[in-house]
Amino acid sequence: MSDDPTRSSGYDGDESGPTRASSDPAETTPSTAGADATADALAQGLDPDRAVAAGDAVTTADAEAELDAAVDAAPDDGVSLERIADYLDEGRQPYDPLIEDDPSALAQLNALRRLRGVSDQLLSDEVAATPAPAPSWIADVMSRVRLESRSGREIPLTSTHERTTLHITEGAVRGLIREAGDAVDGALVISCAIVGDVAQPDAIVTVDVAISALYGVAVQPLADEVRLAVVRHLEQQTELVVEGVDVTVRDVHQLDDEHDGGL
Amino acid sequence: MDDRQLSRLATELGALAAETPGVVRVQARPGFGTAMRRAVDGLTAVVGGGDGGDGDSAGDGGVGGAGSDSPATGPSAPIVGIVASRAETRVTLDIAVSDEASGPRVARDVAESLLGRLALEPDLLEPSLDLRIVGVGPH
Repeated sequence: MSDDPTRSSGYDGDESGPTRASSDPAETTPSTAGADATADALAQGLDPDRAVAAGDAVTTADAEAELDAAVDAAPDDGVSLERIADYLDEGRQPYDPLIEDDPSALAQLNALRRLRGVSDQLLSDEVAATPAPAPSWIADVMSRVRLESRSGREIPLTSTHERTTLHITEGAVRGLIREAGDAVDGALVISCAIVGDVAQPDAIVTVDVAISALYGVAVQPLADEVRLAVVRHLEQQTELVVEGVDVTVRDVHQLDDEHDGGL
Repeated sequence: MDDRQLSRLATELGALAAETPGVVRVQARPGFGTAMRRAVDGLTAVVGGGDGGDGDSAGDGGVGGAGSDSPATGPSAPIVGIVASRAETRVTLDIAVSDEASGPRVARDVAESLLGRLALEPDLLEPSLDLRIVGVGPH
């Protein structure tokens, strides 16, 4: 795991467990990154200020690099994001089964709804007067949501019948992690990954969550709250043996309605 | 048990799964029909839920088979797939569960309910279940 001061980690079944988040006020107080710097960082999937520190965990870095590459290379299949955005604009009427009945499309719709909710909140708080991040910020997050929402690996659940198999898909778990993180005030999940052989029962895994913090929110408590929320959701909805949940604060967000990537 | 009977059973199983506490959606496994035809030796039937349901359309399209009673603009009817071979009967379905429920517990409850119903059908050989949770949330 990393010594990144913005990374909060650690989970051994005890939610009061140790955290790697720094107590140094100089490091836990978020600073505003300029639009150019944010754009460069997001283009690489990393905040430049955090990239070196985030890269010292080989497995995590590999997972993130793979995700970044996959986001770039992923074919545009399934229901288009534009169609999902239009459907949300129309109040989800008339009912569209291609979206509502498709787990991947539904996960994207829910993520977009949460992102827009944050944007609206920021507008009402008049935070939008401060420098804004790259125009592609939401679009970048949504491209990751789109990839993460795919079914992925099948994670076994205990069955009471020998020949009956029960699973939860990796896509469902990633959606769960994202929803847990987004539900924490001031946090937005940029990406998440489950590291480990989840297809094997009782395999030990770690969870990596990269978030963006709302400008003005203390980073360490925010990261801790996200970690606890993710742990709670994973305990409730899966049987994963989670060794740790690493939360990395990648950037600070300040959105307005002109910087929503067209979504 | 002919295809029509199996199809009605699939509809019934879909309804049973949908009414299990904690389940918010039931749907067919994408590609289910085609995959089963390739994988199962001695296959005798592949069906999806609903009157006149056809396994390939239900499984591959995810919206075929069942749903004939649903309005075009409303949620699709719950769909499960049934594969019947000379050696076994395999029920396949995907579900979404409520974020307020326990996913693993809901999955086991659905399995108990469906296997209990299948046990009442003496014509079905070695019934078993393949269930996935594909979503967690309020909708």
